[in-house]
Amino acid sequence: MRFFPRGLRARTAVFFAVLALLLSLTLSAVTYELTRGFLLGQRETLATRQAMGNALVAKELIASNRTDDNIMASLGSVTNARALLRVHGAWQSTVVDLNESRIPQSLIDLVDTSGPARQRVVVNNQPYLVVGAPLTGLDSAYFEFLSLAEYQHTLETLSRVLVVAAAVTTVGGAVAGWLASRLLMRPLASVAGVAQAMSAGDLAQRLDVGHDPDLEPVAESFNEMASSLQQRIEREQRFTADVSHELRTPLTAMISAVGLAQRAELPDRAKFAVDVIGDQVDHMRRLTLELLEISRIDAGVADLDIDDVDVVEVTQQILNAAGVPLDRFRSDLGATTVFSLDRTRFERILANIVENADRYGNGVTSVSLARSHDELVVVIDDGGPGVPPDERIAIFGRFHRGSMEQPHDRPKGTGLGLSMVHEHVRLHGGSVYVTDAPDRGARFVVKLPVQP
Amino acid sequence: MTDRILLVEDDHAVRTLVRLLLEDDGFEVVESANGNNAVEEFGVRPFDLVLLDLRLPGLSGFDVCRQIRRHSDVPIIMVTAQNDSHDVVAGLELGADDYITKPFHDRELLARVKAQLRRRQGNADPERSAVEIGDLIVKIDNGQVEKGGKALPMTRTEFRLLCHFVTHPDRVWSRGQLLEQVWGYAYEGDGRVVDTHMARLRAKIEDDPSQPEYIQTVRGLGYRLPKRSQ
Repeated sequence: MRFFPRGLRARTAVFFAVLALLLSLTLSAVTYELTRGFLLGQRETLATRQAMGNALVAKELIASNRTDDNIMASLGSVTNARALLRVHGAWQSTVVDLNESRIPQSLIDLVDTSGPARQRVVVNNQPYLVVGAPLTGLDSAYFEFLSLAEYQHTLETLSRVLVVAAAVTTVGGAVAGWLASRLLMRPLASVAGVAQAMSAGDLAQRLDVGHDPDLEPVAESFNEMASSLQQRIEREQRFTADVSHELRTPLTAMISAVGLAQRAELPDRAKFAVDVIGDQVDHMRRLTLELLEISRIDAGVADLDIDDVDVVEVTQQILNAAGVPLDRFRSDLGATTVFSLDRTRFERILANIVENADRYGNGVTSVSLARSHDELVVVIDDGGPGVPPDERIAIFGRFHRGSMEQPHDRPKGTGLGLSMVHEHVRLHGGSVYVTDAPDRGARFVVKLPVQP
Repeated sequence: MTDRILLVEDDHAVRTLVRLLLEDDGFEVVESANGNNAVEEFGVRPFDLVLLDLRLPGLSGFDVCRQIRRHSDVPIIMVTAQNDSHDVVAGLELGADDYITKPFHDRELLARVKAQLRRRQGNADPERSAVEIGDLIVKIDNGQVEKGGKALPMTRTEFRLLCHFVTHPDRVWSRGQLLEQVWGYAYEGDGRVVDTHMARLRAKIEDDPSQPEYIQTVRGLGYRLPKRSQ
């Protein structure tokens, strides 16, 4: 699995770090190779020159016809070299450990056939340069081991320095990337700030266009978008307010007219007709109010009116108003019963579910309030037949007509109650769903986020 | 004596029907189709209650409310077309006592009107005619409030609200209870009515309304007038 950081800043930092690492690795490799070649060449030249000098000394010693032991002793004391001599096929060396077996046969052959030669070898983990030269006319050859340890040491130090440099460059690249991205992110942060202010309702907020030629087009198109959004929302608000007013006034007249007519002594047929009109007007009134509220929510102009709400008190009030006995209510909240919620919407949520339970579920059988982490959980059970699994989502849709029969002994429902519940809950950033109650019936669960 | 109501409403049908409904219940109703006319009518004769639509041609309902409040504490019920608009709070801040949202039921309207009129009688405690709290003197029997020897002008609702706390000290009252006790609602009302009146009341009696020392807010529960050790 590969590592992909999610954030733009982290990605930029990683990108810069990788770039810096590659650059410094390449530079280090080139530096290392050049330095090594130069140092080695220099060392080998010097070593060869020294060995050739020592070979001349050896040649003179042999020519002076000393004994073999004497030759080696003198060679050792005069040159201080780790030298080997092959005189008439017999090997002698100044250092016991560095004998002829350490010299590659290829080098010996090369020296015998074509003159002086050299080769790098490793003896006991120590690097050496072996230089060989035939001692012409004496049937002898001179070989010398020259230590490359110092050179090796220099290279190791160099490579350590280069590795550290690469690491520092990489970290530096990451830091540079992080800082650069912060610089680039700053205008984005102000965009986010303005967007947040706008979604919080301050539609007049705009970005400061500034004088940066790179950012100006972005800021300008953002501001254009904000302006058209503001216009649209304001148009919606005005429209909703106008529609609201235009519908409410005639409804008021109709309701008042029916009220007035119902006070009069009417013949049975007329009374029946007036009552039907009354029921229908009342249905239309509820429908209008709920549609207006839904259109406000759809237009995005409905917002939460957050207040400190004692949820136990409010729930008890709603249950009282609906005629639900309070022994069916339980609070597991403990001492903390006050939460920041929209009081009216919280009331509507409860009242609509209770009304739904009344209408289709033989009434509420139990209501409980509890706290789960940072959520307020309201559970309302009814004593009806429950909601079939395939209707459990659709039931929160607008004008959903389930398989349940409408009761005839009471005013028709608007078909919007549960969809309103859904919208009120959604505005709070919460969730609502229906499942099975333990003893048949439907269980409505509302979860609203609250401050811990 | 019959109560006289000033009905300010621009829609002819609604105005006529509401007048008929109110007359049915024994009120005397004077109709007014616009704001300017309403202010004129109010200058001509006394009224016991004003039913005021906020959306009016010409002088708006807000202007009418402001003008009436300049020299009268008559109960004002405003009629709004949107229950969650800023209209409600704006109207209450101008001194309206209550509001009702279109479309309303005739029985709801009558209940509100009667609650406002009933409240005129007040629930004065015959035992105590005046209560002193710090430098605040509340004369329960004649509806006057003095602070530091200076009379504070109040609407009837503000005065009743203050009296309610003064006569029931050290007890927390929820918005719902206050609506029931002070406004006379027998049904659910709007807590903003209480909050707005409380803000107006505080602006009058408190030295620093943001740090109230008379009537305090009890978070999530309501309001309380703490007992003072004097």
